[in-house]
Amino acid sequence: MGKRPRISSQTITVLGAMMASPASELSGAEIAKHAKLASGTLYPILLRLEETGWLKSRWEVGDPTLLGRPRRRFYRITAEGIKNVEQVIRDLTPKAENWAWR
Amino acid sequence: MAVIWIVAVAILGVLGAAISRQITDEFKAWTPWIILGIIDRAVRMLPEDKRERFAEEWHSHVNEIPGDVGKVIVAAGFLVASSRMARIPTAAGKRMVDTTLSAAAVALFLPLSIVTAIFIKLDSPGPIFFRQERIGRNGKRFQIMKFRTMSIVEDHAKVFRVTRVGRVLRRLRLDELPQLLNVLAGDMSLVGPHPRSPNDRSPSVLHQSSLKPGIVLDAEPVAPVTSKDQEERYKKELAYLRNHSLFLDLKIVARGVWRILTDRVDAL
Repeated sequence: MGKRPRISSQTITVLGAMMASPASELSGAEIAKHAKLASGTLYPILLRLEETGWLKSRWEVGDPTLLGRPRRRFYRITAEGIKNVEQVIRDLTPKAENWAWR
Repeated sequence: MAVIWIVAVAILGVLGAAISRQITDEFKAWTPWIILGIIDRAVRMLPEDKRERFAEEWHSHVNEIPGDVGKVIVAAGFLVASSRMARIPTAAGKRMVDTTLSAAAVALFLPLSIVTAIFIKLDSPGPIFFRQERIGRNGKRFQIMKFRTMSIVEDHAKVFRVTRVGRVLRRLRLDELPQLLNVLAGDMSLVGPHPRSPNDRSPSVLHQSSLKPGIVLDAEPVAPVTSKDQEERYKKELAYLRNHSLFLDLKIVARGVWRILTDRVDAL
Protein backbone atom coordinates (compact mmCIF):
# COMPACT_ATOMS: atom_id res chain seq x y z
CA MET A 1 0.00 0.00 0.00
CA GLY A 2 1.09 3.53 -0.64
CA LYS A 3 3.82 2.52 -3.08
CA ARG A 4 3.59 4.53 -6.25
CA PRO A 5 2.68 2.36 -9.26
CA ARG A 6 4.44 2.68 -12.57
CA ILE A 7 2.63 5.45 -14.42
CA SER A 8 2.39 4.56 -18.12
CA SER A 9 0.27 6.47 -20.58
CA GLN A 10 -2.30 3.66 -20.33
CA THR A 11 -2.34 3.97 -16.55
CA ILE A 12 -3.12 7.67 -16.99
CA THR A 13 -5.97 6.77 -19.37
CA VAL A 14 -7.46 4.43 -16.76
CA LEU A 15 -7.09 7.02 -14.01
CA GLY A 16 -8.62 9.63 -16.30
CA ALA A 17 -11.67 7.43 -16.84
CA MET A 18 -12.00 6.91 -13.07
CA MET A 19 -11.54 10.61 -12.30
CA ALA A 20 -14.24 11.62 -14.81
CA SER A 21 -16.81 10.51 -12.22
CA PRO A 22 -14.95 9.97 -8.94
CA ALA A 23 -18.12 9.16 -7.00
CA SER A 24 -19.40 6.39 -9.26
CA GLU A 25 -18.36 2.77 -9.52
CA LEU A 26 -17.48 1.21 -12.84
CA SER A 27 -17.09 -2.39 -13.99
CA GLY A 28 -14.01 -3.50 -15.91
CA ALA A 29 -16.05 -3.64 -19.12
CA GLU A 30 -17.23 -0.05 -18.58
CA ILE A 31 -13.70 1.19 -17.88
CA ALA A 32 -12.44 -0.61 -21.00
CA LYS A 33 -15.10 1.19 -23.02
CA HIS A 34 -14.45 4.65 -21.54
CA ALA A 35 -10.66 4.35 -21.66
CA LYS A 36 -10.71 2.53 -25.05
CA LEU A 37 -8.29 -0.06 -23.71
CA ALA A 38 -8.08 -3.76 -24.57
CA SER A 39 -8.82 -6.31 -21.86
CA GLY A 40 -5.22 -7.51 -21.96
CA THR A 41 -3.91 -4.08 -21.05
CA LEU A 42 -6.65 -3.01 -18.64
CA TYR A 43 -6.68 -5.72 -15.96
CA PRO A 44 -2.96 -5.69 -15.08
CA ILE A 45 -3.31 -1.92 -14.56
CA LEU A 46 -6.47 -2.26 -12.44
CA LEU A 47 -4.81 -4.89 -10.26
CA ARG A 48 -1.67 -2.78 -9.83
CA LEU A 49 -3.67 0.33 -8.93
CA GLU A 50 -5.73 -1.69 -6.48
CA GLU A 51 -2.66 -3.21 -4.85
CA THR A 52 -1.20 0.27 -4.31
CA GLY A 53 -4.47 1.52 -2.82
CA TRP A 54 -5.38 4.00 -5.55
CA LEU A 55 -8.46 2.00 -6.50
CA LYS A 56 -10.84 -0.17 -4.53
CA SER A 57 -13.15 -2.85 -5.88
CA ARG A 58 -16.13 -4.79 -4.60
CA TRP A 59 -18.56 -7.38 -5.90
CA GLU A 60 -21.96 -6.44 -7.17
CA VAL A 61 -24.55 -7.17 -4.46
CA GLY A 62 -26.53 -10.30 -5.22
CA ASP A 63 -26.27 -14.04 -5.58
CA PRO A 64 -24.98 -15.19 -8.99
CA THR A 65 -27.46 -18.06 -8.99
CA LEU A 66 -30.36 -15.65 -8.41
CA LEU A 67 -28.94 -13.10 -10.85
CA GLY A 68 -28.57 -15.86 -13.43
CA ARG A 69 -25.16 -14.49 -14.44
CA PRO A 70 -21.73 -13.93 -12.89
CA ARG A 71 -21.46 -10.90 -10.60
CA ARG A 72 -19.78 -7.75 -11.83
CA ARG A 73 -16.83 -6.31 -9.99
CA PHE A 74 -17.04 -2.55 -9.50
CA TYR A 75 -14.05 -0.23 -9.20
CA ARG A 76 -13.90 3.20 -7.68
CA ILE A 77 -11.06 5.61 -7.03
CA THR A 78 -10.05 6.08 -3.37
CA ALA A 79 -9.35 9.38 -1.60
CA GLU A 80 -5.70 8.40 -1.61
CA GLY A 81 -5.94 7.73 -5.34
CA ILE A 82 -7.43 11.16 -6.02
CA LYS A 83 -4.68 12.82 -3.95
CA ASN A 84 -2.02 10.88 -5.85
CA VAL A 85 -3.50 11.63 -9.25
CA GLU A 86 -3.52 15.34 -8.41
CA GLN A 87 0.13 15.00 -7.42
CA VAL A 88 0.93 13.27 -10.72
CA ILE A 89 -0.83 16.07 -12.62
CA ARG A 90 1.20 18.65 -10.67
CA ASP A 91 4.43 16.76 -11.42
CA LEU A 92 3.64 16.62 -15.11
CA THR A 93 2.54 20.27 -15.41
CA PRO A 94 5.45 22.68 -16.01
CA LYS A 95 5.68 25.05 -13.10
CA ALA A 96 4.91 28.71 -13.87
CA GLU A 97 7.98 30.05 -12.04
CA ASN A 98 10.27 27.90 -14.16
CA TRP A 99 9.51 29.73 -17.34
CA ALA A 100 8.31 33.09 -15.98
CA TRP A 101 11.82 34.58 -16.22
CA ARG A 102 12.73 33.31 -19.65
CA MET B 1 -17.22 -28.24 -72.57
CA ALA B 2 -19.54 -25.35 -71.70
CA VAL B 3 -21.70 -27.69 -69.62
CA ILE B 4 -18.67 -28.76 -67.59
CA TRP B 5 -17.91 -25.11 -66.84
CA ILE B 6 -21.46 -24.35 -65.79
CA VAL B 7 -21.42 -27.36 -63.47
CA ALA B 8 -18.01 -26.32 -62.10
CA VAL B 9 -19.19 -22.77 -61.40
CA ALA B 10 -22.35 -24.10 -59.76
CA ILE B 11 -20.32 -26.42 -57.56
CA LEU B 12 -18.01 -23.56 -56.58
CA GLY B 13 -20.98 -21.34 -55.76
CA VAL B 14 -22.61 -23.99 -53.59
CA LEU B 15 -19.27 -24.77 -51.96
CA GLY B 16 -18.65 -21.08 -51.25
CA ALA B 17 -22.09 -20.55 -49.75
CA ALA B 18 -21.75 -23.73 -47.71
CA ILE B 19 -18.38 -22.65 -46.40
CA SER B 20 -19.50 -19.18 -45.36
CA ARG B 21 -22.66 -20.54 -43.71
CA GLN B 22 -20.61 -23.22 -42.05
CA ILE B 23 -18.12 -20.73 -40.62
CA THR B 24 -20.77 -18.41 -39.18
CA ASP B 25 -22.98 -21.20 -37.82
CA GLU B 26 -20.10 -23.07 -36.22
CA PHE B 27 -18.76 -19.87 -34.77
CA LYS B 28 -22.11 -19.06 -33.15
CA ALA B 29 -22.57 -22.54 -31.76
CA TRP B 30 -19.08 -22.86 -30.36
CA THR B 31 -18.59 -19.35 -28.98
CA PRO B 32 -19.77 -19.94 -25.38
CA TRP B 33 -17.68 -23.10 -25.15
CA ILE B 34 -14.59 -21.41 -26.59
CA ILE B 35 -14.93 -18.43 -24.25
CA LEU B 36 -15.25 -20.73 -21.24
CA GLY B 37 -12.11 -22.59 -22.30
CA ILE B 38 -10.08 -19.44 -22.93
CA ILE B 39 -11.03 -17.79 -19.62
CA ASP B 40 -10.27 -21.05 -17.82
CA ARG B 41 -6.79 -21.22 -19.35
CA ALA B 42 -6.17 -17.54 -18.59
CA VAL B 43 -7.23 -17.85 -14.96
CA ARG B 44 -5.06 -20.92 -14.40
CA MET B 45 -1.96 -18.80 -15.11
CA LEU B 46 -2.79 -16.57 -12.13
CA PRO B 47 -1.68 -17.14 -8.54
CA GLU B 48 -4.21 -19.31 -6.72
CA ASP B 49 -5.65 -16.56 -4.52
CA LYS B 50 -6.69 -14.51 -7.55
CA ARG B 51 -8.24 -17.22 -9.71
CA GLU B 52 -11.77 -17.30 -8.34
CA ARG B 53 -12.16 -13.54 -8.46
CA PHE B 54 -10.97 -13.06 -12.03
CA ALA B 55 -12.87 -16.11 -13.32
CA GLU B 56 -16.14 -14.52 -12.22
CA GLU B 57 -15.11 -10.96 -13.06
CA TRP B 58 -14.02 -11.89 -16.59
CA HIS B 59 -17.13 -13.95 -17.28
CA SER B 60 -19.23 -10.94 -16.34
CA HIS B 61 -17.00 -8.71 -18.51
CA VAL B 62 -17.58 -10.94 -21.54
CA ASN B 63 -21.33 -10.91 -20.82
CA GLU B 64 -21.34 -7.15 -21.29
CA ILE B 65 -19.73 -7.34 -24.74
CA PRO B 66 -22.14 -7.45 -27.68
CA GLY B 67 -21.36 -9.79 -30.59
CA ASP B 68 -19.62 -13.15 -30.73
CA VAL B 69 -16.44 -11.98 -32.45
CA GLY B 70 -16.02 -9.19 -29.89
CA LYS B 71 -16.53 -11.66 -27.04
CA VAL B 72 -13.81 -14.02 -28.31
CA ILE B 73 -11.36 -11.15 -28.90
CA VAL B 74 -11.92 -9.81 -25.37
CA ALA B 75 -11.54 -13.32 -23.91
CA ALA B 76 -8.27 -13.81 -25.79
CA GLY B 77 -7.14 -10.53 -24.23
CA PHE B 78 -7.52 -12.11 -20.79
CA LEU B 79 -4.72 -14.54 -21.75
CA VAL B 80 -2.45 -11.53 -22.21
CA ALA B 81 -3.76 -9.91 -19.02
CA SER B 82 -3.05 -12.93 -16.85
CA SER B 83 0.37 -13.62 -18.34
CA ARG B 84 1.25 -10.02 -17.48
CA MET B 85 -0.29 -10.19 -14.02
CA ALA B 86 1.57 -13.42 -13.26
CA ARG B 87 4.73 -11.97 -14.85
CA ILE B 88 5.09 -14.94 -17.15
CA PRO B 89 7.89 -14.39 -19.72
CA THR B 90 6.66 -13.49 -23.22
CA ALA B 91 7.84 -16.77 -24.78
CA ALA B 92 5.91 -18.91 -22.26
CA GLY B 93 2.87 -16.67 -22.55
CA LYS B 94 3.06 -16.93 -26.32
CA ARG B 95 3.09 -20.72 -26.17
CA MET B 96 0.05 -20.60 -23.88
CA VAL B 97 -1.82 -18.33 -26.29
CA ASP B 98 -0.75 -20.53 -29.25
CA THR B 99 -1.98 -23.79 -27.75
CA THR B 100 -5.23 -22.33 -26.37
CA LEU B 101 -6.29 -20.48 -29.49
CA SER B 102 -5.16 -23.13 -31.98
CA ALA B 103 -6.96 -25.88 -30.02
CA ALA B 104 -10.09 -23.71 -30.05
CA ALA B 105 -9.65 -23.05 -33.77
CA VAL B 106 -9.14 -26.75 -34.57
CA ALA B 107 -12.40 -27.56 -32.76
CA LEU B 108 -14.17 -24.67 -34.46
CA PHE B 109 -13.00 -25.59 -37.95
CA LEU B 110 -13.24 -29.38 -37.60
CA PRO B 111 -16.59 -29.75 -39.42
CA LEU B 112 -15.42 -27.37 -42.13
CA SER B 113 -12.16 -29.29 -42.45
CA ILE B 114 -14.02 -32.55 -42.92
CA VAL B 115 -16.18 -31.00 -45.65
CA THR B 116 -13.05 -29.57 -47.25
CA ALA B 117 -11.26 -32.93 -47.13
CA ILE B 118 -14.21 -34.62 -48.86
CA PHE B 119 -14.22 -31.96 -51.60
CA ILE B 120 -10.47 -32.33 -52.13
CA LYS B 121 -10.84 -36.10 -52.50
CA LEU B 122 -13.78 -35.78 -54.89
CA ASP B 123 -12.14 -33.12 -57.02
CA SER B 124 -8.86 -34.83 -57.88
CA PRO B 125 -6.91 -37.95 -56.99
CA GLY B 126 -4.21 -37.60 -54.38
CA PRO B 127 -3.76 -37.04 -50.66
CA ILE B 128 -5.79 -34.54 -48.59
CA PHE B 129 -2.76 -32.87 -47.09
CA PHE B 130 0.25 -31.36 -48.74
CA ARG B 131 3.50 -31.44 -46.80
CA GLN B 132 6.60 -29.49 -47.50
CA GLU B 133 9.91 -29.08 -45.72
CA ARG B 134 10.41 -25.69 -44.12
CA ILE B 135 12.97 -24.12 -41.84
CA GLY B 136 11.77 -23.31 -38.34
CA ARG B 137 13.26 -22.01 -35.13
CA ASN B 138 17.05 -22.19 -34.85
CA GLY B 139 17.27 -23.74 -38.31
CA LYS B 140 15.28 -26.82 -37.30
CA ARG B 141 13.52 -28.40 -40.28
CA PHE B 142 9.88 -29.43 -40.08
CA GLN B 143 7.05 -30.48 -42.38
CA ILE B 144 4.51 -27.73 -42.97
CA MET B 145 0.92 -28.96 -43.38
CA LYS B 146 -1.54 -27.53 -45.87
CA PHE B 147 -4.62 -28.73 -47.68
CA ARG B 148 -3.63 -29.92 -51.14
CA THR B 149 -4.66 -27.39 -53.78
CA MET B 150 -2.81 -28.86 -56.75
CA SER B 151 -2.96 -32.07 -58.69
CA ILE B 152 -0.26 -33.74 -60.72
CA VAL B 153 -1.04 -34.13 -64.37
CA GLU B 154 1.34 -36.78 -65.50
CA ASP B 155 1.87 -36.53 -69.18
CA HIS B 156 5.41 -36.64 -70.40
CA ALA B 157 6.68 -34.39 -67.61
CA LYS B 158 5.18 -33.77 -64.17
CA VAL B 159 2.91 -30.74 -64.33
CA PHE B 160 1.26 -29.25 -61.25
CA ARG B 161 -2.13 -27.71 -61.77
CA VAL B 162 -4.26 -25.83 -59.25
CA THR B 163 -7.53 -27.72 -58.79
CA ARG B 164 -10.99 -26.12 -58.80
CA VAL B 165 -11.45 -26.74 -55.09
CA GLY B 166 -7.87 -25.59 -54.63
CA ARG B 167 -8.61 -22.23 -56.16
CA VAL B 168 -11.47 -21.61 -53.69
CA LEU B 169 -9.37 -22.80 -50.75
CA ARG B 170 -6.52 -20.49 -51.70
CA ARG B 171 -8.81 -17.51 -52.13
CA LEU B 172 -10.28 -18.09 -48.66
CA ARG B 173 -6.84 -18.98 -47.23
CA LEU B 174 -8.43 -22.21 -46.03
CA ASP B 175 -5.51 -24.21 -47.43
CA GLU B 176 -3.47 -22.81 -44.52
CA LEU B 177 -5.86 -24.28 -41.92
CA PRO B 178 -3.84 -27.48 -41.24
CA GLN B 179 -0.96 -25.29 -40.04
CA LEU B 180 -2.89 -25.14 -36.78
CA LEU B 181 -1.56 -28.69 -36.30
CA ASN B 182 1.98 -27.37 -36.78
CA VAL B 183 1.21 -24.84 -34.03
CA LEU B 184 -0.11 -27.54 -31.68
CA ALA B 185 2.97 -29.65 -32.44
CA GLY B 186 5.15 -26.73 -31.40
CA ASP B 187 6.92 -26.14 -34.72
CA MET B 188 5.03 -22.95 -35.46
CA SER B 189 3.29 -20.05 -33.76
CA LEU B 190 0.03 -18.37 -34.71
CA VAL B 191 1.91 -15.15 -35.36
CA GLY B 192 5.46 -15.02 -36.60
CA PRO B 193 7.73 -14.65 -39.61
CA HIS B 194 7.06 -16.72 -42.69
CA PRO B 195 8.72 -20.17 -42.61
CA ARG B 196 11.13 -20.30 -45.56
CA SER B 197 11.68 -23.36 -47.67
CA PRO B 198 15.26 -24.67 -47.60
CA ASN B 199 16.09 -23.25 -51.03
CA ASP B 200 14.77 -19.76 -50.23
CA ARG B 201 17.88 -17.75 -49.45
CA SER B 202 16.09 -14.42 -48.84
CA PRO B 203 16.86 -12.61 -45.56
CA SER B 204 14.78 -13.79 -42.60
CA VAL B 205 14.61 -12.73 -38.96
CA LEU B 206 14.38 -16.39 -38.02
CA HIS B 207 18.16 -16.54 -38.27
CA GLN B 208 18.63 -13.72 -35.78
CA SER B 209 16.03 -14.46 -33.13
CA SER B 210 14.54 -17.32 -31.16
CA LEU B 211 11.12 -16.73 -32.73
CA LYS B 212 9.16 -19.58 -34.26
CA PRO B 213 7.76 -19.11 -37.74
CA GLY B 214 4.05 -18.26 -37.77
CA ILE B 215 0.88 -18.65 -39.81
CA VAL B 216 0.38 -14.90 -40.12
CA LEU B 217 2.42 -11.80 -39.55
CA ASP B 218 0.58 -9.36 -41.69
CA ALA B 219 -3.13 -9.41 -42.50
CA GLU B 220 -2.43 -8.90 -46.18
CA PRO B 221 0.74 -10.81 -47.01
CA VAL B 222 2.19 -10.35 -50.45
CA ALA B 223 3.75 -13.45 -51.92
CA PRO B 224 7.28 -12.25 -52.58
CA VAL B 225 8.23 -12.61 -56.21
CA THR B 226 10.95 -10.04 -56.72
CA SER B 227 13.88 -9.35 -54.41
CA LYS B 228 12.20 -6.02 -53.60
CA ASP B 229 9.16 -7.90 -52.23
CA GLN B 230 11.50 -10.07 -50.19
CA GLU B 231 13.16 -6.99 -48.78
CA GLU B 232 9.73 -5.55 -47.93
CA ARG B 233 8.82 -8.75 -46.15
CA TYR B 234 12.10 -8.71 -44.22
CA LYS B 235 11.45 -5.11 -43.13
CA LYS B 236 8.03 -6.09 -41.80
CA GLU B 237 9.58 -9.00 -39.94
CA LEU B 238 12.20 -6.73 -38.38
CA ALA B 239 9.47 -4.29 -37.28
CA TYR B 240 7.59 -7.21 -35.73
CA LEU B 241 10.71 -8.43 -33.94
CA ARG B 242 11.27 -4.95 -32.47
CA ASN B 243 7.70 -4.46 -31.24
CA HIS B 244 7.00 -8.07 -30.43
CA SER B 245 4.53 -8.56 -27.57
CA LEU B 246 1.61 -10.84 -26.81
CA PHE B 247 -0.71 -7.92 -27.25
CA LEU B 248 0.62 -7.22 -30.76
CA ASP B 249 0.13 -10.92 -31.59
CA LEU B 250 -3.50 -10.80 -30.54
CA LYS B 251 -4.08 -7.68 -32.58
CA ILE B 252 -2.63 -9.41 -35.65
CA VAL B 253 -4.75 -12.53 -35.08
CA ALA B 254 -7.88 -10.44 -34.52
CA ARG B 255 -7.22 -8.46 -37.69
CA GLY B 256 -6.69 -11.68 -39.65
CA VAL B 257 -9.86 -13.32 -38.31
CA TRP B 258 -11.81 -10.15 -39.02
CA ARG B 259 -10.58 -10.13 -42.61
CA ILE B 260 -11.57 -13.75 -43.11
CA LEU B 261 -15.03 -13.25 -41.57
CA THR B 262 -15.74 -10.10 -43.57
CA ASP B 263 -14.19 -9.64 -47.02
CA ARG B 264 -12.71 -13.11 -47.56
CA VAL B 265 -16.13 -14.71 -47.65
CA ASP B 266 -17.56 -11.91 -49.78
CA ALA B 267 -14.64 -12.33 -52.18
CA LEU B 268 -16.27 -15.50 -53.43
